[in-house]
Amino acid sequence: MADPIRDPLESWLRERRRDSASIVDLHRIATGNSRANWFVAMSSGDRYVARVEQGGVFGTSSAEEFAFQRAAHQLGCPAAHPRWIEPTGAVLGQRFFVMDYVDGVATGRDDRSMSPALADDFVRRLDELHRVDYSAQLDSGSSTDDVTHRQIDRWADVYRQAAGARIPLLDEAAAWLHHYAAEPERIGIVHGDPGPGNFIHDGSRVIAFTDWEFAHLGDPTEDFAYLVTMRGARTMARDRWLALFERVASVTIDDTELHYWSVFNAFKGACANLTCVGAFTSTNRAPNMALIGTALHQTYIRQMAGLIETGGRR
Amino acid sequence: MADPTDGLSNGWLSDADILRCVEETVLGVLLPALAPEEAWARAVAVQLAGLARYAAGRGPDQTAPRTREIADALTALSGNEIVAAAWDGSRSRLAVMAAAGDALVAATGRFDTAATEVRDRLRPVLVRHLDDELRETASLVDAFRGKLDG
Repeated sequence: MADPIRDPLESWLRERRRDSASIVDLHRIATGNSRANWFVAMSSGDRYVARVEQGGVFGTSSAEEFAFQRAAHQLGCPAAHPRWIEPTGAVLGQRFFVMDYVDGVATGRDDRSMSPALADDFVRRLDELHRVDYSAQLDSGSSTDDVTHRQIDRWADVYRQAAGARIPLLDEAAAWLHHYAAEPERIGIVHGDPGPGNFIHDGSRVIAFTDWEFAHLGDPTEDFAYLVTMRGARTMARDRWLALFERVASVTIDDTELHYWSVFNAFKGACANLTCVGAFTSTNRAPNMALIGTALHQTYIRQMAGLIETGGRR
Repeated sequence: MADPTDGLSNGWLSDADILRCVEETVLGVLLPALAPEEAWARAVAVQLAGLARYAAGRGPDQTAPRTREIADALTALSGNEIVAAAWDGSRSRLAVMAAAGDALVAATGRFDTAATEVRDRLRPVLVRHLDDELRETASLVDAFRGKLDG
């Protein structure tokens, strides 16, 4: 499986590195659905991860992901150093970028555990990401009064481009989110998919946040709600997460905010996951594409619809 | 009409039987042969087995009857001002789903009789269709999380 990409990747890396080092190890790392992550070891001893798109999955782009990861790295936030990007798809048939390989522990696909010290450090570093001055690295173009609406429209566009016919419950969710959106206190770099499985650590400290494809500028509450109700939901109970945010980052999130951003994150997940159907029926016939595009997509819509039903009148 | 085959179809294998073969072969033969460190290949094998199990057991495509049921719900609400503005009576899939979406959007943030009626009589049909679909696809979530990999 690695062979089809070995030669073109090696040639491309030699051009970027301006040397003749060869690839001595190349194998797929078993994490990530939106991207194929390949471990690459060079004869020089350098080690990389090549992060290859999978046919437009999730409606996210390597260019944006590269820009946010690079900004985070340059600003001192925990992120692997992104080296080079191939934005055309001409080399491997899919767009990709290459970053430094980072030593450390990455929890398994279904492991959501975090030690207390690690959870503290995780929240601290996530809050730093949210508060860092990004203005020199990233062009916002957004203000606090439109940044959330832009994100809603972004994901609604992703769904409409991926869907054959309209999905009324997603239309309703977009309208509900617009209607009840609150202006954030500030705009920050939002990771978009933070939590166990999407960072590398040493047991007690974060070494690097990974999987930056959902990163954007927005209301940081999105990330905290995502931790509580989604990726970190099995790590600890909601009240413990909320207390941790307050203790470590002085961030308080009330029930209304948590409810709103839970709807948003389910909406985002439903829209993003729908793109996997198109990938499965065209360029990427991997079974995970079928599973995500159907069952996981529907699960998110169901969560979202239930939340809107219980919180629609306020 | 009488079945001229008497229920006997020599040599014909059903899609469901073939898919069960795929599932059993992947789980019983191929997966045990994959080394633990081949984590990606093992995950894909479990997902493929789950997909085959789903395909073997699922019912027929319900898109057409569900579209008709949504159109019927819209018809029953034809006197509702929101539905009247959203739907021209076309019963094509594209028109029906667009009308249902537009009606729910128009009802959002409103709590008058028309909006409440849309939420009480149209929305539950859409949610029930989703629940019916989820009953069939739920096993795929398990496969995605590797739960078939005993």
